[in-house]
Amino acid sequence: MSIALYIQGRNRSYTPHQSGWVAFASSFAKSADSRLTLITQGLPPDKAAQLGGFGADEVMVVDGMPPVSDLHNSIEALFPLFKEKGKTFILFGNDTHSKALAALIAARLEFGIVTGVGALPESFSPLVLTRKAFSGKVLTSTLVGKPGVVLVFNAGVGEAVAGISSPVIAELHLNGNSDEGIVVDSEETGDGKQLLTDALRVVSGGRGMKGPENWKPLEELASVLGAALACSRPVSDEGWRSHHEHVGQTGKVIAPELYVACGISGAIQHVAGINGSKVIVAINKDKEAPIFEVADYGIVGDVNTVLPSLIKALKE
Amino acid sequence: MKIAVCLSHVPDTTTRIKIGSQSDQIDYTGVQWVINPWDELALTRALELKELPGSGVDEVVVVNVGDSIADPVIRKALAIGADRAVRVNTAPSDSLSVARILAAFFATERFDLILAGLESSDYNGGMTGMLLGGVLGYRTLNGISALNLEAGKLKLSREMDGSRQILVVEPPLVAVVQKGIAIVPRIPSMRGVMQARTKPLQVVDPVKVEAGLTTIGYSYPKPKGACRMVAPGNENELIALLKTEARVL
Amino acid sequence: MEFSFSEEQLMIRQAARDYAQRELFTDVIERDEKSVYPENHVRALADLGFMGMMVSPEWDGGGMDAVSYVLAVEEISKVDASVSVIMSVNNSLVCWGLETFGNQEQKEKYLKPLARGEKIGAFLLSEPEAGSDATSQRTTAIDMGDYYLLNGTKNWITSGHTAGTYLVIAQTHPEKGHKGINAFIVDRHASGISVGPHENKMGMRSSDTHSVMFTDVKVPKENRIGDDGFGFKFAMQTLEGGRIGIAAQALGIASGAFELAVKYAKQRKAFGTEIANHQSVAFKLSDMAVKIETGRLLVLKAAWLKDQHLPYGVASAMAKQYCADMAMEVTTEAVQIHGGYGYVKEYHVERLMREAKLTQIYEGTSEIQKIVISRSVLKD
Repeated sequence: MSIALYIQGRNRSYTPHQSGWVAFASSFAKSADSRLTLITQGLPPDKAAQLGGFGADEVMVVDGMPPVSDLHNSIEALFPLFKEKGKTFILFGNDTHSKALAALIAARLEFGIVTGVGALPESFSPLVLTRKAFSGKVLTSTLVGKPGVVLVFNAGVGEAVAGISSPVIAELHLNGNSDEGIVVDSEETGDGKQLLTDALRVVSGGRGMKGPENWKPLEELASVLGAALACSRPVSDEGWRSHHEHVGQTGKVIAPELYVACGISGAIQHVAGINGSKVIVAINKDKEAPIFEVADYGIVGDVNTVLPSLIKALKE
Repeated sequence: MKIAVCLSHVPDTTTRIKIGSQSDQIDYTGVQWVINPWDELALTRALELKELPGSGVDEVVVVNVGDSIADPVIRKALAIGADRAVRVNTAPSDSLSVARILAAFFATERFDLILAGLESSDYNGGMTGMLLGGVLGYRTLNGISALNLEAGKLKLSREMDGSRQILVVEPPLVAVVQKGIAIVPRIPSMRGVMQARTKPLQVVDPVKVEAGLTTIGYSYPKPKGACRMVAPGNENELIALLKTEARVL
Repeated sequence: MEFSFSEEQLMIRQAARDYAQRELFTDVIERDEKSVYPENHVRALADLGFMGMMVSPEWDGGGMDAVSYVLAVEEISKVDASVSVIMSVNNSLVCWGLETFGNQEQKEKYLKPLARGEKIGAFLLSEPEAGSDATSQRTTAIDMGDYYLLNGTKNWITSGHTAGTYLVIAQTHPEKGHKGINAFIVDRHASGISVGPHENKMGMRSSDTHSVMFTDVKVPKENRIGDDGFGFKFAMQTLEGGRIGIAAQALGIASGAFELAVKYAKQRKAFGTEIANHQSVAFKLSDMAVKIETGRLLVLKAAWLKDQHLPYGVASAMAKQYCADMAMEVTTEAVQIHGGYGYVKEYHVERLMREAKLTQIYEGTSEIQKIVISRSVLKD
């Protein structure tokens, strides 16, 4: 039995969700009575070792890979490593790059693939996993018929505790071919703002905010909380905010520890994007708004008066 | 250039999902089937590209894996503007099986660009498009939020976590697309509905694949506990609860 | 008996629903408040083929049946009856009238752009002193040899300002009474036409209703529809089809209000439970549902008769009278279920109630429909 988890670093470091994945993979490996190998890419050895300390037994620090969007060659380069270290389970987080590699390695190894994993298996033998389907409306139990499985974890899983393991570190330089049919025309590496999908706290505004000119208090609340900003679909459709901020079924699906919904009624499509949040706070003037059915804490009131006093209270 | 759009049929996203009495299947009675939202956006973009003057796009074809329950949804795609449709005649199972079935079809007919939506709104697996690319061995990219044609090549924007690349890619390509590829899905016009009457919907037999995964049971998630209400003006109390009870501050 | 819709009919209903819920819904309150003509929506619906959806493809129409049309009008009306009245007038009065009674040249020149929705049509029958009584037309069209000279005033003209093409009913031979009436195709921008101010209406406030004055307007001879004296018959037959459109509109207003009321009743809590669980509300919803279903069957029956080329005049009168009165009742109840929220604009139902009122009045009041129905009932 061997279990491998793949993590690609972010800006030469790692995010809280990523340390959560290591912790979750570790409990997964323990339940399966197996060792966990963490395979990292884009991380300096010290950071990789730190990340491994959240529960890995071994860390393979990989560098020298083909360009990031050259996915086939990336898999070609990583393939021997996955084959050796992930005989039974190959685990990934749910960021865009990891999902791409997950699918390609599954296709290559003819492994079954289960995504949206947010809990340990119901049983290991036979392997049965519970996951959400229909955007959280039902749970399904999936039986994996044969050994050799790729799993993709949800964001927000795992209780990350630093330094609970002291993994063996190995560095590995991989050379890959590169595909001349994919040319990078330009690249933006973000504006340094934290990503909505990474953020542990998110402040979100809906149509109840009445207009883009009323976003100031949301921005202020986000800055006090260290939160990222999000919005509901009508807000991005109306062009009040960029569609990058849209969370919901067709937008981004997020799983922060704290989600603050302001002036959001809580349509089923919106809830589909946030129901992985640990704690949901809703502020809405309509006490019948469906958002209160999914919220943990609620204030019925006008966002224009509640937000300023919430910000004031937080600052104190 | 030929573009294929992989199209899933899914229950309308506002439908209440009912579990059958044996808890081993979903009760689809009375469910309204729609085009999977991301596939609809992919189709919309494919048609926009075809309509650009001198685009060089000859054909936009929708490809579905499904039984005849999918036909009305497929004909809607034809009414929206796809030139023809192919349905691989089998009920879809797990994503790797569907990908292999699709790959077997695409081995018989070559497309320069194959579009697949980010995920289907039923099982939310989000893997079929990438798996298809993997099995087919075509260039494969996910996170595609913009797509243009440039001198016979594909110019696309790939959004990864924390960065974005503008890529110029030589076909053939499997692109897994997400929001941004198109903003609003197209609505079929009367002319489109009329033309759909005579557009081909070809039904082909699937290759035999063995499903690796089986869904053996369904259940409803536990209802969430009641929302704890805090009176406006008592924001301090909310903060205290978030600190001590929820422990997220 | 066959009570199911074809796949195409369902597709068209869904297309209309998608457009209405996605696009019309976002600015309907603002347009109503400010009486803004829904120019972009009319354009978009024209591009989708909804403005000439029953016209044969030969004349650039959508080639759909009356049942599809009724389903589309209902869906549009659930959200915005101002838009659906523009659609209804163009489809069932102007396009239908021209396609059925116009000659080849008239269809080529006038029907095609109307069916494509590039131009919008208006139907000019009502006068300041002749509303329901269409026989006493005071607008005159005097035969001048090469042309007709048009004089008079028309009232309550839907799309009166925006239309590009008018169908005008006028008296050519006053001595012959209604047998002297003719129908003419008139270019909206012909010299001698002036359009009165926008009527500040109670409901359907974003459709442009105007009076139109004709002063020595020259109408080419070839623009007369049918033989000399055909105008009254033209108007009556066209209005028979128009009633189906307005009946479908009233049905949509009612079912739109009903959908909102159901949603609200399942959400709003009072006395510790959702108000839908209170029998007083549940029974109201039950009554509303039965009335709407009755209305829907009447409208679909009239549309079906039309599609079968069977007489539908009485069926369309029944549908229109019932649906209009029913829409008034159902929207009033929808407001009642919403309580105070129903009385404010944000919740849409007060607007639907205002819109419902007009369906009892225009294209033949409920009383006129009862005349049509009772005459047929009492006929030997």
